[in-house]
Amino acid sequence: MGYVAAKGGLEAILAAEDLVRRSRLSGSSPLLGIDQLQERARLAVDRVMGEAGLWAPELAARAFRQAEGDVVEAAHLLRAFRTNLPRFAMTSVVAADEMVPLRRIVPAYRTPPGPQLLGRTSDYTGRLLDLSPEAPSSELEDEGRSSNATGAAATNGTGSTASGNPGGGEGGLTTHRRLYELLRDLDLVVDRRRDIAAGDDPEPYDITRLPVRPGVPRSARLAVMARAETGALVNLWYRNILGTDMHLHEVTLGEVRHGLLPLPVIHPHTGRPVVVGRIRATEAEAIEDLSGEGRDRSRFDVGYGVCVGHNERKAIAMANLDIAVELDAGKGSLEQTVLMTTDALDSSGFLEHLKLPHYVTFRSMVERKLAVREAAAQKVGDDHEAAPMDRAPDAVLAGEPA
Amino acid sequence: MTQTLSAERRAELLSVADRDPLIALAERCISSSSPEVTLPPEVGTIAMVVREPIVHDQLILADILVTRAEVSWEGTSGWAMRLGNDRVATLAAAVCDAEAQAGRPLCREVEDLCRAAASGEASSMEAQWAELAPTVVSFEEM
Repeated sequence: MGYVAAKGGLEAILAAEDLVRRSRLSGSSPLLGIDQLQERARLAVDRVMGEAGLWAPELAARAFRQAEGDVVEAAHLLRAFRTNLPRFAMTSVVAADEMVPLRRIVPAYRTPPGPQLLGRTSDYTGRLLDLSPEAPSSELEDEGRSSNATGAAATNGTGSTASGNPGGGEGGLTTHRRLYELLRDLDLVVDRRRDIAAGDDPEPYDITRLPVRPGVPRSARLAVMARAETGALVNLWYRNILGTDMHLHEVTLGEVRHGLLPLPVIHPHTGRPVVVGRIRATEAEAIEDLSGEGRDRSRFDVGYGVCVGHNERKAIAMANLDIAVELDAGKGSLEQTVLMTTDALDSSGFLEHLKLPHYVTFRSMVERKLAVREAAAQKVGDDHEAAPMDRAPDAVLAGEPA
Repeated sequence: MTQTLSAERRAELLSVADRDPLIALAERCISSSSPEVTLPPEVGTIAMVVREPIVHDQLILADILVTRAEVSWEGTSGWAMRLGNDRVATLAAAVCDAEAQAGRPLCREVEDLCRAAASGEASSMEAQWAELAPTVVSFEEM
């Protein structure tokens, strides 16, 4: 069924597109640089990459600029770009434990193995609009130079290529044991680990190549949420913890980390792994208090969330929803909701298509209304003021007299 | 000349070496003779596979944008992969890799470039930790 029964408007469309382009490129202020966006709008650039499913900081910044700051539109541009690229290989499997944290907090427990490293955050301070002059003084410039160097290194995702701990020895940037492992040692969590040594190690589901429907493996669900829209996941989490869905109850966060993950690929000549760089990622663990009927009330269970870039809201919501779907076990519609309604391109694309001409479908709807009215009038013998089918729908819509 | 870096370690360091000195060194490498470009610089992705810590499931976290290239110098191959979309730097890295692998005249300078990359990376991480260290929480007993 077509939506449009007419042609035309091409010149208007081109003029509108040109207006967008000229307005974006002109203006009284200098064009935003790609490096500026990477350094000063890093969280937006990270969201673009996360929702596009492609780690490419420079291109994400470019897409963000082209989309005039619209994250979903920028993610659309970047994901479309990715579809034209060949995929050379999969990395070797990277354990999440290899993450070198730039920030690591454990809200559930004060003294976990390793430090509570706040890192770059304003979580614990008041959020007030800063109206002081933004042009940095020379003093701030000196201070900022070292900060930006840190930020740039992290933004580029190539913080180190050292195969071991990039920060070196004790007290530097290094990996830490998880609270989850501590709880497992104490037999306080449900142990759902696969027996990898026995061959229970399925290949990850590739959501870019295979359809995603309820019943797919957990690896698909995690991948879907890793590139889902942040707001969609947060909203779904909120509905489940405070709203009517109620799939979540008493949740405490274990680990929340933002850090560097290595990218090991197999060297084509030697067959041994080579770390060709690092990317930043965020991960979270949600500890669920098992208190419902039929649950093991002597233990907790844990959900996991991870996404590229620095996006704690997304990782936390994902971890919560991971365990919620696991516990729901297909009895409700939560899995379907997570899989089918959280992708930004899917939902925004469907919504935005409503702006396209729907002349034919709406005319058909008007015809049906008029036919219903005529049938009703005939049935009661009512001599209705405007016998509808005496006039064409276009005449009715144009307000022409009967 | 004896190689002091393994092929893997050299590839790691050439993948993050600074762009300008890398290209300058590659241009010097090819000033007298040119290698055969067996794999022209190509932009694509690698899928990042992560093993999560709870169930130990593998998942594909995202695709990563990379550029790869390969050259051959008198039967000795050089390979490179760098993050992002940069054909020139990646080809330069492959040329330098082949130069070192073949033990050609600028082999030592390639290794120096790699060491500089390693040193720069270590310094960057140390600087990063110096900024982060003050944010480690010290609790006071109540």
